[in-house]
Amino acid sequence: MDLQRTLRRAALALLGSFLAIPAARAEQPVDFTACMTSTITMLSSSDGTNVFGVESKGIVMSSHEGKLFHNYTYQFTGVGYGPPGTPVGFGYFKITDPDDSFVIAEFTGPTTDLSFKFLQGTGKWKGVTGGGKAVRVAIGRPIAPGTLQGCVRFTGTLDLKK
Amino acid sequence: MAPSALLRSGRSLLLKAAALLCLSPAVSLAQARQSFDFTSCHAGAVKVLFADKEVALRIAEGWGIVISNQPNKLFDNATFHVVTTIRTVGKDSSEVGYYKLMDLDGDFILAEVSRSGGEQVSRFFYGTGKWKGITGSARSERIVFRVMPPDWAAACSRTVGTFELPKQ
Repeated sequence: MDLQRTLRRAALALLGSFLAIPAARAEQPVDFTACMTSTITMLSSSDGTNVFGVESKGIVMSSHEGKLFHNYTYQFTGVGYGPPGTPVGFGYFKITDPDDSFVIAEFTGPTTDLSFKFLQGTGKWKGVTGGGKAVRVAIGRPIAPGTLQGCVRFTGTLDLKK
Repeated sequence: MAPSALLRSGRSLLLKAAALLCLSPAVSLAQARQSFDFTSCHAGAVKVLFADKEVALRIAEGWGIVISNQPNKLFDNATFHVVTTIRTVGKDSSEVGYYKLMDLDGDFILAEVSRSGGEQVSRFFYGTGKWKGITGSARSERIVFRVMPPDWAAACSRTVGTFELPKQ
């Protein structure tokens, strides 16, 4: 009876580990920095509040040892609302690899607490989920009127469960 | 003191004086010259002036930002605007142009830039504010680079160089 119970437990444990391995393998950390130049379209600027649209283009450098997303292009489209320098923003970014597979993510929050969430992907990124936090690591004085240059570091996890 | 000993002593003094004279300009040069090391990233538009199977001429205009790799954070968060012309013949590519590098105070440096293959060389020839009278040069190597058809490109490079400023 005890032997039967022990064998059953061992079989369950074995089954559990087989089921757990693909999920554990699919989830991986992401840590990358996107540097970009942006065009700002100001809809309104009154009473200390700006309302604007942003279009950004840039490139990604990975800080992860596996170089995940390294040399991907970065495109962002979004809107912002709030005081100059500390608006609350919402938008979507697309990062594209040299094979033209891409990942789409939602990017939201105030500049002090940015977060992102992977929504969809194509090619090898089909079925991508996950997300994390983002921090501005560089922000300069606009080199041309109506533009903004900066870098954002994204850290979190990515899941490719089938 | 014997004449030979006097001679040796005189020669020794002369050598010391000469060493001191040589050392002084070297010290002041070392004080004036500063080295820098930064990563810059930019993105922008690419226009085709001419392109066939053998030759292509393109004009690129980019806007970007600098992240310093040094503890003193020299040029950190400086932004830049670059305009270049790119010539491609077969697999060989070269580039010439100019950029404006502006710090957080709005003072800026103008530089001439040229690239042959993967390495880029730039030379500072003009500066305003705290950079007035600047001279110097730098070498850059690409870290990442992508061309996104039909009309834009982006890149990050690591740049190391030195500059000098006239004494106030």
